[in-house]
Amino acid sequence: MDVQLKKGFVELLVLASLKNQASYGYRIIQDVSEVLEVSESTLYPILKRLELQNYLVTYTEEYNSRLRRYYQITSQGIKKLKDCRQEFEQIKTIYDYILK
Amino acid sequence: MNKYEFLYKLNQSLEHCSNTERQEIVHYYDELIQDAIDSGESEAEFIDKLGSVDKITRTIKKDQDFVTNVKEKKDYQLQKVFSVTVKIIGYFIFFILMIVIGSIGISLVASGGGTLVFAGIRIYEAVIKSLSAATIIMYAGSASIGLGLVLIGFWVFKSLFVQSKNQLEKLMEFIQSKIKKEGQ
Repeated sequence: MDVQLKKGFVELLVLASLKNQASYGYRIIQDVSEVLEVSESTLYPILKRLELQNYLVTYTEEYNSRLRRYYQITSQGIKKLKDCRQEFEQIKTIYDYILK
Repeated sequence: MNKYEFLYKLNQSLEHCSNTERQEIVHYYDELIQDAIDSGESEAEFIDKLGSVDKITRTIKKDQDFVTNVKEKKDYQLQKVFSVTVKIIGYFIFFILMIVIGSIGISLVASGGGTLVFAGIRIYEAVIKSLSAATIIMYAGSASIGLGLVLIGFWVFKSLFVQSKNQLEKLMEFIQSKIKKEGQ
Protein backbone atom coordinates (compact mmCIF):
# COMPACT_ATOMS: atom_id res chain seq x y z
CA MET A 1 0.00 0.00 0.00
CA ASP A 2 1.16 3.53 -0.71
CA VAL A 3 3.08 4.94 2.27
CA GLN A 4 1.08 8.16 2.55
CA LEU A 5 -2.22 6.34 2.18
CA LYS A 6 -1.21 3.85 4.84
CA LYS A 7 -0.16 6.65 7.16
CA GLY A 8 -3.56 8.23 6.76
CA PHE A 9 -5.29 4.96 7.56
CA VAL A 10 -3.10 4.31 10.58
CA GLU A 11 -3.97 7.75 11.92
CA LEU A 12 -7.66 6.92 11.68
CA LEU A 13 -7.15 3.43 13.09
CA VAL A 14 -5.34 4.88 16.09
CA LEU A 15 -8.21 7.28 16.71
CA ALA A 16 -10.71 4.46 16.30
CA SER A 17 -8.82 2.33 18.83
CA LEU A 18 -9.12 5.19 21.33
CA LYS A 19 -12.82 5.73 20.72
CA ASN A 20 -14.02 3.80 23.74
CA GLN A 21 -11.17 4.25 26.19
CA ALA A 22 -7.77 5.85 26.58
CA SER A 23 -4.91 3.55 25.68
CA TYR A 24 -1.09 3.32 25.72
CA GLY A 25 1.58 2.76 23.06
CA TYR A 26 2.00 -1.00 23.28
CA ARG A 27 -1.72 -1.70 23.27
CA ILE A 28 -2.44 0.74 20.45
CA ILE A 29 0.10 -1.08 18.28
CA GLN A 30 -1.51 -4.42 19.07
CA ASP A 31 -5.03 -3.13 18.40
CA VAL A 32 -4.15 -1.38 15.16
CA SER A 33 -2.02 -4.31 13.94
CA GLU A 34 -5.10 -6.51 13.96
CA VAL A 35 -6.28 -4.52 10.96
CA LEU A 36 -3.13 -3.04 9.43
CA GLU A 37 0.44 -3.87 10.31
CA VAL A 38 2.16 -0.96 12.00
CA SER A 39 5.66 -0.80 13.42
CA GLU A 40 6.64 0.71 16.74
CA SER A 41 8.81 3.30 15.06
CA THR A 42 6.10 4.57 12.72
CA LEU A 43 3.56 4.89 15.50
CA TYR A 44 5.46 7.52 17.46
CA PRO A 45 5.39 10.25 14.76
CA ILE A 46 1.74 9.47 14.10
CA LEU A 47 0.77 9.89 17.74
CA LYS A 48 2.78 13.10 17.82
CA ARG A 49 1.02 14.39 14.77
CA LEU A 50 -2.44 13.52 16.08
CA GLU A 51 -1.58 15.38 19.26
CA LEU A 52 -0.39 18.41 17.28
CA GLN A 53 -3.67 18.45 15.38
CA ASN A 54 -5.58 18.29 18.69
CA TYR A 55 -7.18 14.95 17.85
CA LEU A 56 -5.85 13.48 21.05
CA VAL A 57 -4.38 14.53 24.37
CA THR A 58 -1.89 12.69 26.54
CA TYR A 59 -1.51 12.15 30.25
CA THR A 60 0.75 10.01 32.38
CA GLU A 61 -0.45 7.60 34.99
CA GLU A 62 1.39 5.25 37.29
CA TYR A 63 1.28 1.60 36.39
CA ASN A 64 3.30 -1.13 38.14
CA SER A 65 5.32 1.62 39.88
CA ARG A 66 6.39 3.19 36.60
CA LEU A 67 4.94 5.97 34.50
CA ARG A 68 2.88 5.11 31.48
CA ARG A 69 1.69 7.61 28.90
CA TYR A 70 -1.95 7.37 27.94
CA TYR A 71 -3.56 8.78 24.84
CA GLN A 72 -7.11 10.04 24.98
CA ILE A 73 -9.26 11.07 22.04
CA THR A 74 -10.67 14.63 22.02
CA SER A 75 -14.03 15.84 20.73
CA GLN A 76 -12.18 16.95 17.59
CA GLY A 77 -10.86 13.44 17.18
CA ILE A 78 -14.35 12.00 17.55
CA LYS A 79 -15.56 14.44 14.94
CA LYS A 80 -12.75 13.35 12.61
CA LEU A 81 -13.95 9.75 12.95
CA LYS A 82 -17.51 10.78 12.26
CA ASP A 83 -16.39 12.57 9.10
CA CYS A 84 -15.05 9.21 7.90
CA ARG A 85 -18.59 8.01 7.43
CA GLN A 86 -19.22 10.67 4.81
CA GLU A 87 -15.80 10.19 3.29
CA PHE A 88 -16.42 6.47 3.06
CA GLU A 89 -19.30 6.96 0.64
CA GLN A 90 -17.06 9.17 -1.46
CA ILE A 91 -14.15 6.73 -1.38
CA LYS A 92 -16.50 3.90 -2.25
CA THR A 93 -17.77 5.77 -5.29
CA ILE A 94 -14.20 6.49 -6.36
CA TYR A 95 -13.13 2.86 -6.02
CA ASP A 96 -16.26 1.58 -7.70
CA TYR A 97 -15.31 3.76 -10.64
CA ILE A 98 -11.62 2.78 -10.62
CA LEU A 99 -12.34 -0.92 -10.43
CA LYS A 100 -15.19 -0.89 -12.92
CA MET B 1 21.07 -5.78 23.00
CA ASN B 2 19.28 -5.13 26.27
CA LYS B 3 16.93 -2.28 27.11
CA TYR B 4 19.54 0.01 28.65
CA GLU B 5 21.98 -0.39 25.79
CA PHE B 6 19.21 0.29 23.31
CA LEU B 7 17.92 3.39 25.12
CA TYR B 8 21.44 4.71 25.59
CA LYS B 9 22.16 4.33 21.88
CA LEU B 10 18.83 5.91 21.00
CA ASN B 11 19.46 8.87 23.27
CA GLN B 12 22.90 9.35 21.70
CA SER B 13 21.51 9.34 18.19
CA LEU B 14 18.82 11.95 18.86
CA GLU B 15 21.26 14.85 18.79
CA HIS B 16 19.16 16.87 16.38
CA CYS B 17 16.17 16.85 18.75
CA SER B 18 15.41 19.21 21.59
CA ASN B 19 15.90 17.90 25.10
CA THR B 20 12.17 17.57 25.76
CA GLU B 21 11.64 15.67 22.57
CA ARG B 22 14.58 13.42 23.26
CA GLN B 23 13.23 12.55 26.68
CA GLU B 24 9.80 11.93 25.23
CA ILE B 25 11.07 9.56 22.55
CA VAL B 26 13.32 7.67 24.94
CA HIS B 27 10.44 7.36 27.38
CA TYR B 28 8.15 6.12 24.62
CA TYR B 29 10.55 3.29 23.77
CA ASP B 30 11.33 2.59 27.42
CA GLU B 31 7.61 2.16 28.08
CA LEU B 32 7.06 0.03 24.97
CA ILE B 33 9.89 -2.35 25.87
CA GLN B 34 8.71 -2.57 29.48
CA ASP B 35 5.12 -3.27 28.36
CA ALA B 36 6.37 -5.91 25.94
CA ILE B 37 8.36 -7.60 28.70
CA ASP B 38 5.37 -7.45 31.05
CA SER B 39 3.26 -9.11 28.35
CA GLY B 40 5.70 -12.00 28.25
CA GLU B 41 7.72 -11.04 25.19
CA SER B 42 11.47 -11.60 25.17
CA GLU B 43 13.41 -8.39 25.76
CA ALA B 44 16.09 -9.09 23.16
CA GLU B 45 13.63 -10.27 20.52
CA PHE B 46 11.39 -7.26 20.98
CA ILE B 47 14.32 -4.84 20.73
CA ASP B 48 15.46 -6.67 17.62
CA LYS B 49 11.97 -6.21 16.19
CA LEU B 50 12.16 -2.45 16.79
CA GLY B 51 14.84 -2.20 14.09
CA SER B 52 18.11 -0.35 14.16
CA VAL B 53 18.46 2.87 16.15
CA ASP B 54 19.60 4.67 13.00
CA LYS B 55 16.44 3.70 11.22
CA ILE B 56 14.28 4.89 14.11
CA THR B 57 16.10 8.21 14.19
CA ARG B 58 15.68 8.61 10.45
CA THR B 59 11.93 7.92 10.66
CA ILE B 60 11.59 10.60 13.31
CA LYS B 61 13.73 13.04 11.35
CA LYS B 62 11.77 12.42 8.18
CA ASP B 63 8.53 13.13 9.96
CA GLN B 64 9.90 16.30 11.50
CA ASP B 65 10.89 17.44 8.03
CA PHE B 66 7.42 16.56 6.82
CA VAL B 67 5.76 18.57 9.59
CA THR B 68 8.00 21.59 8.92
CA ASN B 69 7.33 21.31 5.21
CA VAL B 70 3.60 21.25 5.72
CA LYS B 71 3.91 24.26 7.96
CA GLU B 72 5.99 26.13 5.41
CA LYS B 73 3.91 24.82 2.48
CA LYS B 74 6.89 23.95 0.36
CA ASP B 75 6.59 22.65 -3.16
CA TYR B 76 6.76 18.90 -2.70
CA GLN B 77 7.34 17.66 -6.23
CA LEU B 78 10.16 20.07 -6.90
CA GLN B 79 11.75 19.25 -3.59
CA LYS B 80 11.47 15.52 -4.23
CA VAL B 81 13.28 15.75 -7.57
CA PHE B 82 15.88 17.99 -5.99
CA SER B 83 16.46 15.71 -3.03
CA VAL B 84 16.86 12.62 -5.22
CA THR B 85 19.50 14.38 -7.34
CA VAL B 86 21.31 15.63 -4.27
CA LYS B 87 21.21 12.14 -2.76
CA ILE B 88 22.67 10.50 -5.86
CA ILE B 89 25.44 13.09 -6.08
CA GLY B 90 25.96 12.69 -2.35
CA TYR B 91 26.41 8.92 -2.63
CA PHE B 92 28.77 9.36 -5.57
CA ILE B 93 30.98 11.77 -3.64
CA PHE B 94 30.74 9.53 -0.60
CA PHE B 95 32.01 6.46 -2.42
CA ILE B 96 34.89 8.38 -4.00
CA LEU B 97 35.75 9.65 -0.54
CA MET B 98 35.62 6.11 0.80
CA ILE B 99 38.12 4.97 -1.84
CA VAL B 100 40.44 7.90 -1.04
CA ILE B 101 40.26 7.31 2.71
CA GLY B 102 40.69 3.57 2.12
CA SER B 103 43.89 4.21 0.16
CA ILE B 104 45.16 6.48 2.92
CA GLY B 105 44.44 3.69 5.39
CA ILE B 106 46.31 1.15 3.27
CA SER B 107 49.34 3.42 2.87
CA LEU B 108 49.39 4.14 6.60
CA VAL B 109 49.34 0.44 7.46
CA ALA B 110 51.89 -0.39 4.77
CA SER B 111 54.39 2.36 5.61
CA GLY B 112 53.89 1.86 9.35
CA GLY B 113 54.29 -1.90 9.00
CA GLY B 114 57.40 -1.43 6.88
CA THR B 115 58.99 0.93 9.40
CA LEU B 116 58.10 -1.41 12.23
CA VAL B 117 59.65 -4.47 10.56
CA PHE B 118 62.73 -2.55 9.43
CA ALA B 119 63.30 -1.06 12.90
CA GLY B 120 62.68 -4.47 14.46
CA ILE B 121 65.40 -6.04 12.32
CA ARG B 122 67.79 -3.21 13.17
CA ILE B 123 67.10 -3.59 16.89
CA TYR B 124 67.78 -7.33 16.57
CA GLU B 125 71.05 -6.65 14.77
CA ALA B 126 72.05 -3.98 17.26
CA VAL B 127 71.43 -6.36 20.16
CA ILE B 128 73.38 -9.19 18.47
CA LYS B 129 76.32 -6.89 17.65
CA SER B 130 75.86 -5.28 21.11
CA LEU B 131 75.85 -1.75 19.71
CA SER B 132 75.38 1.29 21.95
CA ALA B 133 72.15 1.81 23.89
CA ALA B 134 71.56 5.07 22.01
CA THR B 135 71.35 3.20 18.70
CA ILE B 136 68.87 0.72 20.12
CA ILE B 137 66.74 3.51 21.58
CA MET B 138 66.78 5.29 18.21
CA TYR B 139 65.53 2.17 16.44
CA ALA B 140 62.98 1.55 19.19
CA GLY B 141 61.70 5.07 18.51
CA SER B 142 61.32 4.29 14.82
CA ALA B 143 59.56 1.05 15.72
CA SER B 144 57.03 2.88 17.90
CA ILE B 145 56.40 5.43 15.15
CA GLY B 146 55.75 2.50 12.80
CA LEU B 147 53.41 0.88 15.30
CA GLY B 148 51.58 4.18 15.72
CA LEU B 149 51.09 4.49 11.96
CA VAL B 150 49.75 0.93 11.75
CA LEU B 151 47.30 1.64 14.58
CA ILE B 152 46.12 4.87 12.95
CA GLY B 153 45.69 2.94 9.70
CA PHE B 154 43.55 0.31 11.43
CA TRP B 155 41.52 3.00 13.13
CA VAL B 156 40.85 4.58 9.73
CA PHE B 157 39.71 1.18 8.43
CA LYS B 158 37.47 0.66 11.43
CA SER B 159 35.76 4.05 11.08
CA LEU B 160 35.48 3.48 7.36
CA PHE B 161 33.79 0.14 7.97
CA VAL B 162 31.30 1.53 10.49
CA GLN B 163 30.49 4.51 8.27
CA SER B 164 30.11 2.51 5.10
CA LYS B 165 27.86 -0.04 6.83
CA ASN B 166 25.62 2.77 7.98
CA GLN B 167 25.63 4.44 4.56
CA LEU B 168 25.02 1.18 2.73
CA GLU B 169 22.02 0.48 4.96
CA LYS B 170 20.71 3.94 4.08
CA LEU B 171 21.40 3.42 0.38
CA MET B 172 19.58 0.08 0.38
CA GLU B 173 16.58 1.69 2.06
CA PHE B 174 16.64 4.49 -0.49
CA ILE B 175 16.81 2.06 -3.43
CA GLN B 176 14.09 -0.11 -1.95
CA SER B 177 11.78 2.85 -1.50
CA LYS B 178 12.43 3.89 -5.11
CA ILE B 179 11.71 0.38 -6.38
CA LYS B 180 8.56 0.22 -4.31
CA LYS B 181 7.36 3.50 -5.76
CA GLU B 182 8.16 2.37 -9.30
CA GLY B 183 6.21 -0.81 -8.74
CA GLN B 184 3.06 0.98 -7.77
